[in-house]
Amino acid sequence: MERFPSNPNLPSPQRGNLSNLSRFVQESRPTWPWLGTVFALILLFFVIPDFIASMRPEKQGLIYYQFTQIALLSIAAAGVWLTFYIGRINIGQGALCLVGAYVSAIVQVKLDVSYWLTIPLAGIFCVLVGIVIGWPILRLRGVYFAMITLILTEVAKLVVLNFPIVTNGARGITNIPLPEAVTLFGFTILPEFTADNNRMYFYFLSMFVMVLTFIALFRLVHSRIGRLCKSLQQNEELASSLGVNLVLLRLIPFCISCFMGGVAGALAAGVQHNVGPSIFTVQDSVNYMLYCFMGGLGNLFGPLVGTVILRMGWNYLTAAGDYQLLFYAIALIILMLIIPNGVMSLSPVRIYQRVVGWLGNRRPTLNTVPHNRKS
Amino acid sequence: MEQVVVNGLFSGAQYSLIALGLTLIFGLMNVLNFAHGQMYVLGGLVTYTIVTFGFGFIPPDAFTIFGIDFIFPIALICAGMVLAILGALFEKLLFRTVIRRSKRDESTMLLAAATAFLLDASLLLIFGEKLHSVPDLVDGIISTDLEPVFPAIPFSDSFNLPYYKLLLGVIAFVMILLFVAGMRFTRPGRAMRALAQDRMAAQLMGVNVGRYTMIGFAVGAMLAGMTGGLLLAASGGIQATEGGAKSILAFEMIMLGGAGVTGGAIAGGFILGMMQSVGHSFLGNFTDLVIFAALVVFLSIRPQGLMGKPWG
Amino acid sequence: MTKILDLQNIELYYDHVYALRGVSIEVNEGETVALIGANGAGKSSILRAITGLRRIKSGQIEYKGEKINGLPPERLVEMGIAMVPEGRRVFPFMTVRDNLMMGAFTRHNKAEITQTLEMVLARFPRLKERYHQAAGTMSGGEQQMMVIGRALMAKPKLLLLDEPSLGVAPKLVQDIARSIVAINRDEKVSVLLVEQNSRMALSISERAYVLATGSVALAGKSKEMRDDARVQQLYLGGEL
Ligand SMILES: Nc1ncnc2c1ncn2[C@@H]1O[C@H](COP(=O)(O)OP(=O)(O)OP(=O)(O)O)[C@@H](O)[C@H]1O
Ligand SMILES: [Mg+2]
Repeated sequence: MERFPSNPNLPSPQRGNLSNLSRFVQESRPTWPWLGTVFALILLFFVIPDFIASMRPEKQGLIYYQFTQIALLSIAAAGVWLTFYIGRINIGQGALCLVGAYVSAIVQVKLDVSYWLTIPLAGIFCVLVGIVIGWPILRLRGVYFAMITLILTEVAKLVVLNFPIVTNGARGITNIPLPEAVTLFGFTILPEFTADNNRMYFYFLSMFVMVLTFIALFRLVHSRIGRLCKSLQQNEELASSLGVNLVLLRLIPFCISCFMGGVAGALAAGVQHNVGPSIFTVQDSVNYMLYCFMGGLGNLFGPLVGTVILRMGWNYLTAAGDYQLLFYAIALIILMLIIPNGVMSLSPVRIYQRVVGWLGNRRPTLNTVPHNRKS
Repeated sequence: MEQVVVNGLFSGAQYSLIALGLTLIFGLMNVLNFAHGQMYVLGGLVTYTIVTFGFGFIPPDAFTIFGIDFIFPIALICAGMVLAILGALFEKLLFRTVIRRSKRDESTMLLAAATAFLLDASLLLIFGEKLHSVPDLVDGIISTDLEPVFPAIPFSDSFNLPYYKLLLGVIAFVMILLFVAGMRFTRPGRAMRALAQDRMAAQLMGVNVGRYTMIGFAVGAMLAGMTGGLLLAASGGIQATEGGAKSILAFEMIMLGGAGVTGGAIAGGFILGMMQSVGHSFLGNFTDLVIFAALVVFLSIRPQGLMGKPWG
Repeated sequence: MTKILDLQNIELYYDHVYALRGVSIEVNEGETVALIGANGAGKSSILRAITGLRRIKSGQIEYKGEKINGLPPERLVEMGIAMVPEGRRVFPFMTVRDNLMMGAFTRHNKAEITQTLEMVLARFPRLKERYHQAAGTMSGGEQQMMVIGRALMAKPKLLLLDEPSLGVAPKLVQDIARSIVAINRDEKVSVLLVEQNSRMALSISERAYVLATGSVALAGKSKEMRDDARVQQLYLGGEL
């Protein structure tokens, strides 16, 4: 015996993570905040539209459009957040959005299929793309995964540019029709989108999909798969030693993420009536990641909060004209310095502690930067 | 064929320099420097500005001594210095704070992305979208009609290498050698290698972590900037907006070679340069797609790249 | 006897959880002192506090009568404190030679460094055989010898060792124990030895401290401690 038995009276060391893991797996039941959902629905479908209706008519379209954008982006960002949930930093969501947008546009224009069908179709196509791409690259970790997904966005653009027979190349597809009405047994289930009302209808459509997305995300995170994924985020080796099929466990959330990207892309194609190789760029991919980080990776609604804050900020900065990106970048850097762990990491208790910390004795500070630890 | 090889070697040398800077910063701080391509562009444009306008009241042709124009090397060194200072400032004011305060390593990625946006926006505001270029450094060209080595393959019968390209290629090679030698044989070089391999152990050897991390970031940025200057003179010119694409190229290189490893960056740079050169003569526009597909296949077999650390 | 190291009432926190509470420890010039205790007792934390890797919240650390808390690690290396960290932190891609030379990073006199290098290689002949091998490819025991040698390259006056026997075969544990004794004796280096292998630690040290949940539970002569029933039961696996 080289090691000595530890004293039962002393607190046991936190060496083995097994206990942590099983704690995650059996984590308490979700307490679904129904009240919050109802509140959000009322806000999204009544209060905001009502508020917009009180504005000047020529401004309404723009405001609806901006909210629609936020909804779209947060759907895509939710996918990025989900990939983070399996411990992967995904900077390739822009690629999936681009694919989704093109699938929707091409199927509508070339095959004359209804817009409504193209939304799930785009999602499913992206899932297939996700399987083909995700299967090899999900083995990569950390920055490697981040880098390869980042490259993916650029590659998607190259694909679009290099297959002009299908995609129209750099000119893009510009004649996407507005969605038509859907009737069933004589009842109009979905109204016709016209030049006058499409901004508003697209607002409702995207908000509806956004709410669905976050409900699905919530269900997923609190399902068995979700908890297993969380354990994966903590410790890959350990999870694999528990007999979990890692490849599948990573592929499923990744594909769901791709689905969200595809749907967001298809919605964007509808909203904008046209698609081109640069409707989703590397900058968008990076932005999704920023939304997630800024909102906070620890919370399901992080991507939503992040999107709302950053996108609204971006919209306000339109006033700055050419300086928009500059101010946006400066604002980001400052935010990063103040709240490096995201908005959702802020809690009143901690802010209180901070303030007390500033006033009173300083907490011991870290002198080393422990990120090179090989663990 | 000779032409293809020489082109490949030429861009390989330049690419290696870009990748070396990126990998140095990554190895030292675990920071993926999204702004690397933008730093490269900034270096190129600083070089352009000095070569074209000189230093305010000193015109560019004041640096012609004995009929040799020294403005380009001077501009190149200035670009390196500007970028080194910028890199040091970024590290000291931004990255250090965020690394210390954030709970996740990945937060630095966000910061890096924000700095990339910042540089992108500033560059566009200052220089606009137009292509900036400088005149050829020296005249003349090596041009031969060679016997085809592989008669079956086209492109193998003529060979052109302008002198200025040769000169720039040699400068790039010398810079790579200097960098490698510096990392091996100088005190800061050894300190940085130790830091990259085990931060805590290096600290216990008496390496001043703060100082050498800053130096590393500065050197990485400097390499990016000087390569920008070199490629400005070698290619048709440089655009303020091409930073993002260059970052992506650099990522491909260090993934291929293995992140955080000097040898990997050099290998990655040369391999990518060669693949592009070969690809452009056979595949045309599809080159980049094929390279990406090959990279994905390669990484699924060897996730850590050619020489990367398995735990990277 | 003069104290080379003197910790007075130090407290150390990780985030908001204490790891050390009111620890007072001293090491005299030329002495070998053992520090034993269960996993998580705070042994490594003490060494981190001494070398400045972690800042202490309160208390005082004196080295040769001079207050050193708050100084950065690199200053302490220059002053003659070297530490062998837990778990053999070699520089895996450097050769053995380069690893050893890193140990002398703060020293500038070439001739003296060469002299120390020869001393280290004489003390650990295995390192000479592996001189140009990448350190990461060596066996665990060889790596352990190398990190001890690397610490010696700084020509320290005080050597802090964190679990040098960890993961090393029993035969090699003996070798390492002998080297520690020899280093202490020949190089006039004071040693603070943290060990899980309490038997070994107590047999080569003059005095020892037993640490439990962040404070000193027991202190005394190592020889007496080996015979102490409580220590036997808790740390030497003795049946009572
Ligand atoms: N970086 C850290 N962050 C948070 N807590 C830490 C950290 N390092 C150590 N601790 C905690 O501090 C306590 C003391 O740790 P320390 O490493 O000093 O123990 P030790 O006595 O060296 O144990 P071992 O024999 O297992 O090495 C433990 O409870 C440990 O969990
Ligand atoms: Mg320990």
